[in-house]
Amino acid sequence: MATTESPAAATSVLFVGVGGIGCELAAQCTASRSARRLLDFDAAALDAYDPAETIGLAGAAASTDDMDPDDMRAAAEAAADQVAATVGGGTELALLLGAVGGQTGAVVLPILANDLKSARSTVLVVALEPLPFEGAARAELAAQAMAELENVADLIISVPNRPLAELCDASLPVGEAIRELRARTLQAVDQLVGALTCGSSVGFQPSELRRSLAEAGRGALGVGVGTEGARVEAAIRDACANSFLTQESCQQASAAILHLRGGTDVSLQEVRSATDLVAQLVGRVPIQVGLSTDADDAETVRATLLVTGIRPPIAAMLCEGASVGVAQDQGLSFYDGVDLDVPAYLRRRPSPRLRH
Amino acid sequence: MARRDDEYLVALDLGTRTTRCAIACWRRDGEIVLEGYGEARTLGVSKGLIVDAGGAAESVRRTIEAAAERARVRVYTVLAAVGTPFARGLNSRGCIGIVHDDKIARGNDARRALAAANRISLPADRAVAEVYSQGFAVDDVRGIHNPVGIAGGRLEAEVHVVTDSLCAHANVEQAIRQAGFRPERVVFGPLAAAEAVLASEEKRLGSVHVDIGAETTSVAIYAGGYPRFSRVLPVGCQHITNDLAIGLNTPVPSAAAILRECGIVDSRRPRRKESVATVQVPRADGEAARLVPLWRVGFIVRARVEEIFDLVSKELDRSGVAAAGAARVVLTGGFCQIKGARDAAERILRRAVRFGSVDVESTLSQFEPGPAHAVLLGTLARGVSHRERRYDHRFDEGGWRAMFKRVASWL
Repeated sequence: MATTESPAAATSVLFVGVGGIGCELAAQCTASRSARRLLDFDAAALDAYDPAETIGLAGAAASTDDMDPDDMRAAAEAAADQVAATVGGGTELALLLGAVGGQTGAVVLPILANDLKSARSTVLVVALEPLPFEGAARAELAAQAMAELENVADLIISVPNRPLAELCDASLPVGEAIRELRARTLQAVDQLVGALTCGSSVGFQPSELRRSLAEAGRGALGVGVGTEGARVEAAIRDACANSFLTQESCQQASAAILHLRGGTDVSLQEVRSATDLVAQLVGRVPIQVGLSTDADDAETVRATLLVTGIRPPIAAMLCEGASVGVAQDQGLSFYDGVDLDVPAYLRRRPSPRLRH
Repeated sequence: MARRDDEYLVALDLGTRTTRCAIACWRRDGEIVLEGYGEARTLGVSKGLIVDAGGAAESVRRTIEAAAERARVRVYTVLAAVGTPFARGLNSRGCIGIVHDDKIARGNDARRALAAANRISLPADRAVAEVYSQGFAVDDVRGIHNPVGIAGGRLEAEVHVVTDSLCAHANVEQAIRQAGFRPERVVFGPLAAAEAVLASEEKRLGSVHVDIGAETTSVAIYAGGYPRFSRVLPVGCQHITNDLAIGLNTPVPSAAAILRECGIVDSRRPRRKESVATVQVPRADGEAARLVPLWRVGFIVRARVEEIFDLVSKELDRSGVAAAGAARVVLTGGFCQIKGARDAAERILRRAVRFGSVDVESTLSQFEPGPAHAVLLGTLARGVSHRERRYDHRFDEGGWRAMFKRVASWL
């Protein structure tokens, strides 16, 4: 466990919300941060936020669906320059938040991630995938954006596109379920930003954290809160029960980062049991543990579990093969059910059908 | 021309894309000197398996004749390397009791323990390709290289047995016969290469040997000085070329040329204001060539390269021995000729990577042994150890009986 007590050890984080949902969630995020920027084509929507933090994307038409993709890219590049200019290029960690099922997120996020990566920042993207009922077109758009992001971002944490009933209580009305989903996403992002920026207490060494997040591939995030009794264990179980973090993602991960935030009374034994619990979940992969303490947070422990380096299950690629018209016969070119003779770049592109 | 058959060794690597042959003089001090080398385009082989007997035999004949001409020898017997995706390595153990009054293990005990370890039941279509010793244990004391003279009650022999398709081996032997030569022995190429390229320290501390050929990739893991795991995957460099041919809509030879020229390039899409490096790509339909951004080539190539190393990683995880300290990877095969191969391997496998090659004394002026020759030269070295085994008296006890046995072996 890394321990950092100096306030100077805090990692400098740039937090960028992109598109309608991205801006809304980023604006509500209460965790401490170094800088925040909100980007959207919709100038009217940006008026609701602090003007110092907003960057309007130029060339807006009546709807982003009517815009020429080249114009959108040009606007995104101009906005990326503006973001880089405002932060002065001194950002160690950039956290981008947006929905990849929409035009804004799908176009702007990869360009922004590419630019910030070029400026030597470690780029994390929290990508909200479209829900199944939003249709195949959005799923396809999201799949393309995720494929582009995989090439440029260090870590992509996806908020998955499973049916709403799986993500929330099935008895809730649809509108309320969506609101709850957003609230939980906000809580997850809030806690993640808190974990990344906790420089004023016991926490990660920024350099170590940056190394762990660099080139980490795909990730999944779970957050939980424990209050009484075995509170740390309860917080971890809550984080795992979080539907953003599935058992499969834990099993396919190649590293895990666990951050605990609680009062000054969190014992070493509690931290150890939390680490053991996470080790049971993720198996034999390196686990980085950090703890930040806050006197105001007595009796409550908040756990943020981030699993990284998730490799797509090879069996799932079989379906990718099916989508490009490959025979399913098992032969010498097959490995674990995957036809290796089909070009890898075609199989790696996620099929929208798989995601419903 | 008029030299004895057992004075030289002829090794043949019947690869999917290239057939290579090396002829070496075996000196009495145990050293080998390379005197002839030949290579030819392989016909009739796919994923390490013969699919056209006539084509394969023709490739064998042309290659051996080219090497024989250079070495100025007449070839009779040939050692062939085989490594098909059907090959499986398994660790076996044989145990016997040391029943002598003094409880001291004899040479015969070692042989009996090895024979017990080699006794594995196989399906009718499989055969034992190679057996590598993993040392002995006497009463749970492990890591004993030679148990003769050590006291104990129980002697265990540990071996790594490689089994492969019976037909695949028979087809290679038949191709050699059809080409006009006699098969001396068929060895398991991946482990022969690993034995030759890994330093003894690397074998002891734990290392992974990865040989990426045209259509197969072999993985061999060493720990404690012995092979622990071996596997052949049905994917290789030719898949990268094929992906480029499909993705860029260009003929396969042009795709191969692009891969040679560009290597494993960055797949990051440049920004609009950045200059975009391009590469000229001929069209498959014969129309005028077009310019394609280099990042697009990188995107296609990296996807396949990452997949190959992901599969290697998966095999390391499956083996259960990688975690024991196989921290170094030694890479051989045609893949090493691609620009950026080592960096890509280091980044994906997250281990220290070096290219492996076999040091061999040579009288050939225009032949530089490289990573692509590891299987061929490893086969030569394996051939030497097989021949030396005829005169191996490591497990022999002294006395008149042993002397008679030795004399009998010479006869």
